[in-house]
Amino acid sequence: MNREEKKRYHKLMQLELQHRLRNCMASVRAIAQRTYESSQTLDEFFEAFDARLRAWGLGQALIAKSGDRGGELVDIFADQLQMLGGNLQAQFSIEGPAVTLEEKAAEILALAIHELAINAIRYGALSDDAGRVEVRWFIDGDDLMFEWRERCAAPVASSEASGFGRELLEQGLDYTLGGTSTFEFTPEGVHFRSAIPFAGNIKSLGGN
Amino acid sequence: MLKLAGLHVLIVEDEYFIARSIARIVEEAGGKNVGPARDLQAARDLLSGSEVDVAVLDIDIHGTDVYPLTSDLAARGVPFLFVTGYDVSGISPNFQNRPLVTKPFEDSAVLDAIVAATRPAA
Repeated sequence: MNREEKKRYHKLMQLELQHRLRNCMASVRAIAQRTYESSQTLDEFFEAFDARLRAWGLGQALIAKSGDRGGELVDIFADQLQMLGGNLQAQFSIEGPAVTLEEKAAEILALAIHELAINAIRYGALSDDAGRVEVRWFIDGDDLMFEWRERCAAPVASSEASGFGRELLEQGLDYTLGGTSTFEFTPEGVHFRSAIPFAGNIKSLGGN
Repeated sequence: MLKLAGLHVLIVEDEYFIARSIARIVEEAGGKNVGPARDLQAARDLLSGSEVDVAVLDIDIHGTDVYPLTSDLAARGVPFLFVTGYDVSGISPNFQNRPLVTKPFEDSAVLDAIVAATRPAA
């Protein structure tokens, strides 16, 4: 690159960085707004917003670290569970092939997993040590099928996931990924399923 | 009188929570949401199937430019504006005269830009 080209390149990079930053700020603002709408008290708002921001940040860090702006599903899981408590992993069985997600998909799935886990800690299978969560994903045609099934030790009443979490899992995820998700309460806890189209969402199969 | 009373607004935005927050602004001002649309295909489907008076466009939609959609809008005489992470220097020169709101936005700025876009040219 000559001097002129270098200058142009830097300008373009700067523009793109600005663009990303502004979009990111707009997303954070919108998440704050939605969290505010579903909070009863200021403490409740801050606790939920802070956790969402950290969950989002972890997703971002993973994407940035990867070099090609993607994230492995299993790593997203590990990060999110780690954030909520070191021992949580022990209550999970996680099963699925290596899958690398595109940036947007990695970002929203980090948040979705966070919401599922928070809900399970509050009301579901992770509210005591005896509960289990079975997570699996597999390929079905042109979709990645993702499943979260809670096995609570004692039957659970159909609890209300926070307005935010429920909305993210039932609408936000499908809007972002173009897929189809279902969220249901069973006596054993939450059963969540999502069909995620490969196109636009899956970077590669079989890991790096 | 609410600023967008009776107006059918099509939001084209790939980020769910941002789309939702613009939709809320529209509803609170008395407008009706057609959509939102997560991509250009969804926007075209909505355009051909429903009444649309004005479109609010993000520019970068899942990594592709929204610009091709503006021909569809022009063909139907639907005015549009941009709500985007780009400032005016990042926008195609063909569209720099359109109302533009840079993210992160204030609700009132989005509302004013929608009103400005629907105002008949003097």
